[in-house]
Amino acid sequence: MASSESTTTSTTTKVLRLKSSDNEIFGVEEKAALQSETIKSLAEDGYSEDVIPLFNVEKKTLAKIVEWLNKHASGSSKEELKRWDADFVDVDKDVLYDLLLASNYLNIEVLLHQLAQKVADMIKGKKPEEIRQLFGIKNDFTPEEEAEIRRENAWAFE
Amino acid sequence: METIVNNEDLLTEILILLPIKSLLKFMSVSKHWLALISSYPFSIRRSSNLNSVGAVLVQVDKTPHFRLLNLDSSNSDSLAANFFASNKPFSKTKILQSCNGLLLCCDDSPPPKYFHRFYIKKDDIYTSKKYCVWNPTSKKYTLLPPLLPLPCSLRGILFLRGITLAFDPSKSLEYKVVAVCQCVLFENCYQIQIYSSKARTWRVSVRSFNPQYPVDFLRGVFYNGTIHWGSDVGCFRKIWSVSDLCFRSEDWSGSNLYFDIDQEKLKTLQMPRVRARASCESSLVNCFEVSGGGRLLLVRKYKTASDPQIDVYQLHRDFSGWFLKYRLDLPDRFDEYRNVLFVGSGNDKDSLILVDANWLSIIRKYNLKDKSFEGSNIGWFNLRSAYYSNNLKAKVLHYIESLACV
Repeated sequence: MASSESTTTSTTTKVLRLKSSDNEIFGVEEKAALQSETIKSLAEDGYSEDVIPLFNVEKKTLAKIVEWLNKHASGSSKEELKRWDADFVDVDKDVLYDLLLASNYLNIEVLLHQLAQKVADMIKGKKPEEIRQLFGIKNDFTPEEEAEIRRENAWAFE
Repeated sequence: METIVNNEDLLTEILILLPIKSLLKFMSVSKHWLALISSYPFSIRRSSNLNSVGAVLVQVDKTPHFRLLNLDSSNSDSLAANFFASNKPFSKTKILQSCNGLLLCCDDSPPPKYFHRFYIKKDDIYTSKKYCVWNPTSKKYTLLPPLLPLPCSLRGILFLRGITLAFDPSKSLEYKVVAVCQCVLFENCYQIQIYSSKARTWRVSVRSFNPQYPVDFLRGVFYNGTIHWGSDVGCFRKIWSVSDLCFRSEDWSGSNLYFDIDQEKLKTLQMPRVRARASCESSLVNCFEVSGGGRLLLVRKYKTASDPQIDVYQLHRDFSGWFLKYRLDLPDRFDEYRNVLFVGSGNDKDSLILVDANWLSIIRKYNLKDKSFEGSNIGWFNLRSAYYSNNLKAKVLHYIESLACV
């Protein structure tokens, strides 16, 4: 699936060629690729005949995305897709963030929502301190300001 | 990793999926997060993304106690049942209206002695009462200032006849409260005052008007920038005695008064005709919808016909008229379900929420499409044992969580 150059030649289905930022080329059936709004508009702009350059997505991330696009265009049953998706987003943090950025850039709404849900589930029970640590955010409140906000929303910390 | 939190679109995409409790906690992460979570676009995005159908809130008349029942069993992070009681604005808080996450309440403790002679027992509203707008989710409330007095030359006292909260977060985070007052000396002289959450003051909107027929100002229904009141010519007396009916009529057909809040104008709306030779109870309901301000429904329960039926009319969004949305045979033992609440959820599935009036304890969900009850009872309020009475009445409201500021 992640090999270079297009793979399907047997049928009349059109294959789009996507190029990652590190110059790897992936062949994807048009039907699957057009789930991405970004690829769709690039294809409409006349890129469809040659290679569609995706400057913001690296090879390893694009391989995952292509895998997702193919699966979701394969006509699998709802239950199977659900199980498959759960496995798909079950990756370590760094991969998850790369996928999030890529699906945002490629504008694949369904995938973006799945990934965002995964992150939301990951962080929802956490304390503010843990959130700062996880995302590398600097606390720019004065201690008084922070205490005030916490006091106002005290019940949420119960 | 940092790139995600610096990408506001992406961060929003994640945060709108969080339960309200997490959001309130995460407000103290940083100034950026605080600003984002409290922002207007965020609250719009979040509410349009919510799949939750909210909860049913019940307050039994003459008691300060609330019961909350979650309609959305999958949403376990939601409000706890004792949640409302633990942070209410007054020791005796009476909920008058629920509007997109905000509640309009008043202090239900008895009036001061010197005020007794002005106290109108019939409708439980008098001018000295304290009113507030309360957001139980953020646990904050704002007391409304007293109404403006009449000019000295008129030397009259104004009685509050009805008060309605208007809040539509899909349009603006500002809310307004519309008060209808009646002059004591000139009984036919009514006035409308508006409180705005921006100005924080009351202001006279319609200086004086005189409705040509009895209007039930007590139960205003907010819908799409307007406030609607039920009315009925023939049965005015009934309105004051039966507190859970808007109006009742033999062959009523006429127009209702409503108030356009933006234009600050009173208008009339032709109502659908009541079926010939039938007696019915009518009530106006704003059907809750997650986004878009809901739908205004008119519910008519026909009682005496051989086949008891319910007609549900819906108002066109441009106020051009009503159309019959449902006509269905009354569910089994319908008469006992005195409180009716409409809830529309995601895929335009309409449900009727029924609260058993006799026992005030059982809540059932009736699916209007399939014309059947959905599963078993979705819950019950154990109220009967606590407040035993033969004539128990309660306010049944719809409630959703909101981060809106009061």
